[in-house]
Amino acid sequence: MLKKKKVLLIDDEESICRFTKFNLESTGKYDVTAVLSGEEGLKKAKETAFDLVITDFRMSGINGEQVIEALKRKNPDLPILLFSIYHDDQTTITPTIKSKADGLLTKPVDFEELHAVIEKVLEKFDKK
Amino acid sequence: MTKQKQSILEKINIHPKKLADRILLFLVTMAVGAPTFVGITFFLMTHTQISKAISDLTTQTKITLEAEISAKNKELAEKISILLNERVKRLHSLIVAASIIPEVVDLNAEYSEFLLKKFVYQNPSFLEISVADRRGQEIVKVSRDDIVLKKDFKVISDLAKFADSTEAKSYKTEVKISEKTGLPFIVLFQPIERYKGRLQGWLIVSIDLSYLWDLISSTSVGEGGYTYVVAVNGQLISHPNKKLIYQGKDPFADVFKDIPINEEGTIKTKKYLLTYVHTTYLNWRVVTVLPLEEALKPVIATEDLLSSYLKGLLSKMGNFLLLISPLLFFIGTIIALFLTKGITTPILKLVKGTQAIAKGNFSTRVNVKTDDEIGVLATSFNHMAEEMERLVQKERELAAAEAAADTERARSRELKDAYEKLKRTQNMLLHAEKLSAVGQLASGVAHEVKNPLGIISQGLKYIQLKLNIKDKELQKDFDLINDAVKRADKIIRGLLDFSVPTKLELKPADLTEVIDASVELVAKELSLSGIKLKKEIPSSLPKVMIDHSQMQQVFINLLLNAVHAMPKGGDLIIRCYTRNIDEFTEGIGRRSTDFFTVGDNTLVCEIEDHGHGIPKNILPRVFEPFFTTKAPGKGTGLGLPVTRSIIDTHRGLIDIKSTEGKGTTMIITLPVVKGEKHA
Repeated sequence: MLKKKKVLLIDDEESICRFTKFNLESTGKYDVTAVLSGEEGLKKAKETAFDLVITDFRMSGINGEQVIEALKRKNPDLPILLFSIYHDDQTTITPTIKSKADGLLTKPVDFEELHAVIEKVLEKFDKK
Repeated sequence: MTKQKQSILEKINIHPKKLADRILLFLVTMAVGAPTFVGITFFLMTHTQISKAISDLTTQTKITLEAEISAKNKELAEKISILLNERVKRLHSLIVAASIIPEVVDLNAEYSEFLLKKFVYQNPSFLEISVADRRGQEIVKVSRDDIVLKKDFKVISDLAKFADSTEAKSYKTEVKISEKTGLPFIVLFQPIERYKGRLQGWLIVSIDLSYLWDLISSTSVGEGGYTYVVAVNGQLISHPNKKLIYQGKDPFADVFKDIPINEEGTIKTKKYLLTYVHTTYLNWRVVTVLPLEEALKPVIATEDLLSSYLKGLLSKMGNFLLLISPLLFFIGTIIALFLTKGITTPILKLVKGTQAIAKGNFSTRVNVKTDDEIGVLATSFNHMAEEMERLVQKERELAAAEAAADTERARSRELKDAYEKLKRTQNMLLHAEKLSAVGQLASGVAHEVKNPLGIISQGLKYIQLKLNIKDKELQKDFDLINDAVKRADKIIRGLLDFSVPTKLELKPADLTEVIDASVELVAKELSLSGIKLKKEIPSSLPKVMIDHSQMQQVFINLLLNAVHAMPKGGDLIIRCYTRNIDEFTEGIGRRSTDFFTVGDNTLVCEIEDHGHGIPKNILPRVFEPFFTTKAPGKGTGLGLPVTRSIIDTHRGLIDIKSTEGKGTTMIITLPVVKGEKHA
């Protein structure tokens, strides 16, 4: 059996965290740690070496962009997905922000699509 | 000839022939009877009759002259009244136009001050203009003569009562006298409304009325006459005697005491002939004053001369008659015959001349050049005729003044047209503003809705996994819910596209490439509906500044609309050509003047379908967001609004022409890159 990938999910919406964690874990491929703020996320990232981070963009306190910056500074090889209500052609998500992340997922996203994007990004980083 | 004049002629019971007969009768009587007796009879009879005739004539001439003069003075007063109305109305139109300028509507103090300053400097009649908010608090104020400081801003408490009214109307105060300058002025209050019934504030304008003086003083009434203007409250607005204005009293207040302001007519006082009219818009009275003495001067002079001449004539004849002897009777008769002829001819000439004048032939002159009183009388008569001719001349001048008033009216009509155009533009702006407000609101709401949609989407999977649902029926239901989430997302996506200004990457490009790429993407839909595509595009087109992907969205939207309009197939034509803007057209909710100026080079692209067309009544609404004719859930009602918003950001124009049952043509006009020539 393959080793489960460790995923850190940061989203201030509790139900999103709960559902996504459950859905991902039910595939048997992931071990998901879900937290409700950027601060908590950074704390968890210090304690554990994750294989993938999925973070919401708009959060009070440390936002998604700051989370990406902090984590990438420590480990540029850690894949990070931005999970947001914003589309990439809108002014909120600028090309700069987009380029910092390794992928953008626009809510609402159904589970199949989410899963496909995660697999793709992990595959890309495994090859590195 | 007027009826009045006819009746006057009838009343003048003197006739050239009768007079001659009378004198002949006298001669015959003299030849037959005693000269003394006849002489006395002649004295009494002729004296009385001629005196009566002269008195009748002068009385009637007086009446005619009075009627003519008052009619002319009335015309003059009316002209003045029209000019007054038009001038003040024109100022009012300017204020109304200012009140709908968007920055003024927004009560933008900085811009309003700039605008008001311009107004005050360009119109010397504006003493002071201010903008006040809904409750009457002034926020901007500009004065012609003073520097206005913030502490000078007042609260006009009268306006507070309108604060929440939906029916604020413009109104003006009574005429007042400025304490500073001693000049009359009125204050005009013009509501500023965002749209009908939504009061934003007020424009408050003090209008100096002394500038109307030149208008009135340039029209004199005879030599001793004049015109003055008075308001309903008795305040003088214009009078040649400025002192009276400062005192504010109508010099004929007693005369007009019981006459309502809106009445018109003529009054004769002991000394003056007063003609008055009402100015409707301003509610003022215009009065012309002519001293009676002057009005009747020519008649009185003629009357005096006639009677003094008559006295002299009679005494001369009397003396002569007493002196002649019966022996010289026949010689005397013959001499008398010649003599009377010499006298009656000029008199007859004068009588004829007077009648001609009474008939209105004012160019009549009497040709009598003797040195005696008849000569003087003739000269005086001619003088009178000249006076009358001068009056006629004045009448012509009045006609010219009327022509001027016509021009004024035409100008005010033009102004009205311009105002209506402005009003239309304002409505369009309001509409655009409303749409942008909808967009902003929608964008906020959309983001808040997307999160819950995300929860539903993930939650569906969660429930499915948690409850380990394998039931195919239930799986179908889950898919339905998922579809609903996607549909909601699609609408929100459209809303965001519509409201959030996406950044364009404009590059000079060939529109043909965009068209080809778009056609390729809808090729399948075209063939499925059996639609034949015809391209009427010249081989080389001038380049246009466009964002390729945005413009592609436009074409895909429009092509798909065309496909939906032609479920049974048909011809779809894409036509491109260049056009030099030579006139402006008004399309749906947009006008070409908003984007182009005459002489601009543009590229026009038309997409013409032969489908079901769009009913006339809904055509004006097709660019409104959420307006759709498709079944619920099928169309977002955002296709065309988004398309327009994209074309707008390209500084282009999109318009639509459609005939129900025949088809629809979408017309896109884009500015050509400068330096590009016509293809």
